[in-house]
Amino acid sequence: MGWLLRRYIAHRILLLFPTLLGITALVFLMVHLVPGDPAQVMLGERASAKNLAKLRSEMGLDKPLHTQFILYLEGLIQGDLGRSIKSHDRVSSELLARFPATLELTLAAMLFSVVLGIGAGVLSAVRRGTVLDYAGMTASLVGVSMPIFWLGLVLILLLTQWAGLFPASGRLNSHIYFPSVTGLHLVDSLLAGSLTGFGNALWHLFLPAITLGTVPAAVISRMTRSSLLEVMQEDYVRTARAKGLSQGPVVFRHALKNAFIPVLTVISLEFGYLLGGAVITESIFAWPGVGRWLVLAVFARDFRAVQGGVLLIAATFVTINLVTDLLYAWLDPRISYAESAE
Amino acid sequence: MGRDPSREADFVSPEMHPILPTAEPVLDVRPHEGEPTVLWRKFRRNRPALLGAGLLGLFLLAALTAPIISPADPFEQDLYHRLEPPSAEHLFGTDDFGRDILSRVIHGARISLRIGLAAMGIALVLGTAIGLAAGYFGGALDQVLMRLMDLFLAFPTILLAIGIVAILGPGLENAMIAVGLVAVPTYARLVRASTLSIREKDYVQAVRALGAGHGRVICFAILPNCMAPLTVQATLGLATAILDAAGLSFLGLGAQPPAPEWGAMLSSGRELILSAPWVLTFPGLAILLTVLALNLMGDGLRDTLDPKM
Repeated sequence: MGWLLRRYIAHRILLLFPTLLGITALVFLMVHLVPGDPAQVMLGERASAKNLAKLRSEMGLDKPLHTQFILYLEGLIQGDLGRSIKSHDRVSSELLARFPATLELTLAAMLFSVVLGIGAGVLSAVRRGTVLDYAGMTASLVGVSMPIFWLGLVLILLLTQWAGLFPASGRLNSHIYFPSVTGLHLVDSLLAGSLTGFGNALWHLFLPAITLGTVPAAVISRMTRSSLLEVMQEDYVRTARAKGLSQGPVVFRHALKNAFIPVLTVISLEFGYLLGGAVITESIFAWPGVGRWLVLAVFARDFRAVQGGVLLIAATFVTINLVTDLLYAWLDPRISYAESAE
Repeated sequence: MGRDPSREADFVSPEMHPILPTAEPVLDVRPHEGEPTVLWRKFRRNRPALLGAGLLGLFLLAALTAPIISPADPFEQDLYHRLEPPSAEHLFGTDDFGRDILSRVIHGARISLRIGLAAMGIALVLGTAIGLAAGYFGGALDQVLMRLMDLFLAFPTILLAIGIVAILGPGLENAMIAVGLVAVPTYARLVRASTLSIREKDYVQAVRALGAGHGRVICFAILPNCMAPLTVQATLGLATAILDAAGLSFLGLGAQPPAPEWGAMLSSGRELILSAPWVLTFPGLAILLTVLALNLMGDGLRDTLDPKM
């Protein structure tokens, strides 16, 4: 690893801190614009003025805004996001209990969309101009335009109600148990050696993951197709063909690797879509993740919970972007790190 | 016979004369990428784009003439005819209050297109202003504005929209504002990039040398040249805005019942999915087709206006 690459990686990781600080400040400010008094929400309409003042001072709400922000940051560093206004539970432990469900759903949807998207894109590019290409591209255009909340409901109707193939809600049947280590059911069931558990978790994950992964799959397949078609025009691909290589090795050994770079960018951007879309998908399938909890918190005007949830999802997205940027640097040695590090 | 003055003019025209410099149209601040008629001919050849335009036209027509073409009042309840499947009387069936779904879908086009256009308008105006300011003036202003935009881009859009609705409170207007605000960075970055490349062009320097002020240069030399990418982005952005707004309504954070908004109709009909699927089929199809139409048009416009994109 050259020193330029190492410097670039260090720079990108260091850049994470101001970004995280920025999103924390933004979320903090946003939430403090919420009309209404959190202390009043916590104690109810008939609380006495004395009790309200006491709670306000306990929560630090009587301090100036910048002091409140510094206190919030101090708590954040210690993993403390405050207490939910409604349930009085710690926001951090509530989030920790729900985050694995969201992560599992997002990763499964990503896997689905990458496999389907790249597969369909490559097939379309290789069979350009055929019925297969047109069918694939029409499907992906419909996919890009799909309202996922509707797709989820349609899938429930077709695959749960009519075909009876998949469950419409939840993560696991109630009679199945295995100890929770990571919170990711697929991983935990394997760690416990419970194949029944693994199968059951997968069975529950299927519909939500397809619902969430459809739009990214469509975007990825469009990008794969156009990127691959462009690379196939390049001189070195023609050389590979001229050497007498057949279609398979030309595509897989020579073209695909270079075509993959813009696809990787799209995949990283789609993670943002997935994390946002998870909020909607979780609401359709009663998936016990951060997204559904967040929507309920908005209704309850539980500002600490909203703050924590939004912050966690945004921080996850920023971290994923960092990982992709580093992967990018590793995949494409042509990127000028000195320039990117500016 | 005297000399024909027009012939003489021809003779000394710069194109014909090897010594005279060729005339650069210094004052023409809009270098033509293509004449409108040429562009239209190009767009017309793009079948999918034309299909999209036609489909969108239908929805627009439905939105504009909703009170005339709707077979029934979208709010009128008829409890004797609840949850009737599609029939000759009710082409799309009726919902759990006996309301005619076709009429509600037609009136929904009004709400969804209005909310989408308004949100897109907010994003377009704010984003363009920020992008122009950042790209044209550069320096510290550019840094501050663009870092702020990057910060907004660190949030998944629907999540940020939910956050904004959490501040403003659920409702149609607030959802519209939220969906508009989250799209601002996309327009700002696009316009900034265009501005940066246009700023250094000769004709902009020329306009400046002629003594034009910043406002004049921005409005007459730079902005017109951002129009091609902006048109494409606005078309695709309208699709996203309609989808996001419907998503918020579906979560209960946007339009509230009994408004015949497509997302809200899906939300209130969720429990009926098993017993009366038609309640959900048509509003969902309406969203899908509108967004599809806009995406087809957006792709077509991109191919026509800006082949580099």
